[in-house]
Amino acid sequence: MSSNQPDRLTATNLSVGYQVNGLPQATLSQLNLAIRAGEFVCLLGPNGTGKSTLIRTLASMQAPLAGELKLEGSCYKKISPRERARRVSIVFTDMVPVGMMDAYSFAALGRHPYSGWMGRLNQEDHKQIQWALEAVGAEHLSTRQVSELSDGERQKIAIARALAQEARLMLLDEPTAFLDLPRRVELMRILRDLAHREQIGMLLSTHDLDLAIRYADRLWLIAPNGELLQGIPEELALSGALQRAFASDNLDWDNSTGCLRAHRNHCLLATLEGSGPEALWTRRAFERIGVGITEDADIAQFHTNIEQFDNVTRWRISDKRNEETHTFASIETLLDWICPQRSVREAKL
Amino acid sequence: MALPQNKQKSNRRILCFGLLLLGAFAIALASLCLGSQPLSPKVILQALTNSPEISHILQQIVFDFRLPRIFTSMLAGAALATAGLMMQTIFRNPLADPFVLGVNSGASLGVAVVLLLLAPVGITLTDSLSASGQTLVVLASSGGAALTLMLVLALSKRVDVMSLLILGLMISYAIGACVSILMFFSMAERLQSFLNWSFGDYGNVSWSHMRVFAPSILLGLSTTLFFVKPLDALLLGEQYAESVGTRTKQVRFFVLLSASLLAGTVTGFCGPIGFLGIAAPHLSRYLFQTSNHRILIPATILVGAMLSLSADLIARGPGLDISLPLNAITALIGAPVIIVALIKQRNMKRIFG
Repeated sequence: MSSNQPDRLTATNLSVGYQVNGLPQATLSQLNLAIRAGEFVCLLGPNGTGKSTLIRTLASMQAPLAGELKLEGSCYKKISPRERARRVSIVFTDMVPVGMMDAYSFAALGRHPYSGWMGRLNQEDHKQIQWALEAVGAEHLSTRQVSELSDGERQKIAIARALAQEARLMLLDEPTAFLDLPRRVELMRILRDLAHREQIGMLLSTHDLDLAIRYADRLWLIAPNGELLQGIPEELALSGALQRAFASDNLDWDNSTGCLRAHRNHCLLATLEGSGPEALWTRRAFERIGVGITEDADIAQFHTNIEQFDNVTRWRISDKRNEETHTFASIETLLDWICPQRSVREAKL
Repeated sequence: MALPQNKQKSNRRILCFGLLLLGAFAIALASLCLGSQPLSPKVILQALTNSPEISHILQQIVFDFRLPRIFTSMLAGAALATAGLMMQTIFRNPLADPFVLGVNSGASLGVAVVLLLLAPVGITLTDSLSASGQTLVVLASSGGAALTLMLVLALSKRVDVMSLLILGLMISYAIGACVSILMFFSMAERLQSFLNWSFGDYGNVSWSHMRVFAPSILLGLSTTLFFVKPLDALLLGEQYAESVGTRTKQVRFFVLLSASLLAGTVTGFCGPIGFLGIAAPHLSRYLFQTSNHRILIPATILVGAMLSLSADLIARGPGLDISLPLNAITALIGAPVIIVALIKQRNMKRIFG
């Protein structure tokens, strides 16, 4: 990360929120934040904790309740809307649908802060639009009608439009919300690479914890108590901040696997021996149907052994309750054996 | 970019503009020739060139009746169409028209006050459309339109676009109710003159009126040059427009001011003329397959002028003894245009996405 460039955005003692009946209602307060050049920051937090409000405030589309915001060292108030548009670009969750417009013209709207009063584009503008479309891998869409594009393609065009603005700070409010997983991964990768390559300071809010941890240079994490924690993802995981922020009655953050885990009351307990992907997926299957995994052989109702020879996998179950042994050729047949017992136990409970 | 599709597109656009210009010119010529007394193009030419061979009466028909009527018709059509286009973009609503903010109902209240309230209590108005009576009606309707406009614009900075649309509708209903009450207590002959006004007519603008009418419309039309870029940005919605540097509230205010000036002037001089303002922008979008205002604005001006000329030509009923109410004809032309545009595009959604 280059140190000679000023921070793209700095916030000092910032409070964001709304005026309700003339009284300020802060959703987040006392924020001290910075987005550096070339840094890809992910903003995480439950619904209703003020992610969008924060992004709108950072983009100066909404006045802060208190505190100071500086865009590359200068106050927002001293910057004209046109100049602001050259420095900050925004992508929202959903794009307002527009008809009768091809993707190229849509991306071209990003050149508004540079073009004259009639919006005529010069060679330089066209070059920049072409570059922006290529950067998100959407050059083949340029003659397609925006209204005919899929959600993922539309979001790419929306990002191309923001890139065409040549802004050094880019704010994205849940741009991946309506996309399927492969599209989300693709978009995150494109954005992070762009941030690093073009030295754009990028802030992206998302609900996708897993992707954020994998791709972000830095996380801003809104905890349930309204506190904003920040740090690199790995540090936040190790310090237990992720666990505190995401723990709830139904979910746990599992620091050993690095993912969220739904927890429930186990109706059966089992031991599991084995390794490799088979062990992992057997564990996941047990978790899904409510069978707890334990290390303690004395309290388990049955033992599970995963045996592998000559590319053939067998699940051997020894049932402690009636000393029987069963062998299964697939997880599905194994679950078929467990499930009826589970319902019997549940009925008894 | 020199993509082959783009070249094809721009050729198609040039062709469309050419055909529209030609069409407008042809209909204008037909309007000059046809009327209660059909005149040959040769006579028209002689009248226009002030040839001595032509009688004074014929020259008067061409100069004092048909020519101002054609100018009025073209200017009014262009004005309503452009105002409609701007309203549709600002409100992102394909059914918005120049009158969504209640400009026409304000005007009709003004006229109703003059024709139904003042006239019976002794402020005399000649029943025929004499110059002084007509001027009073123009003043009343412009005044009514201006007052409504100021009310709505004062509100426009405080509320969001969707609320503004509803506010405009509510103001229209409220004013319409006042007009109904006035009508309820009025005599039949007074009602008739009010109804005649509400049918719309391009024949009331004399050359002396034209001195106010034409500059107001031309002023309104020329302001649209400044709106090309912000209107394009507003197609993405106000948030995105703001993010590319558009001062949305300011733009909204001035666009509404300009659209209302256009619509208010037309209503003041010609009465409330419906449907042109909705139909012309849709027809232009359909013809030019674009939502770019740099193309749409001139296209809409041309289409509006042409539709308006055709409607007036039909309304005057050449060859018949009667003339039809203009408003009925604009609706009869406008509704099918919208229906065809809608069916051809399969759904209205594609107009705004």
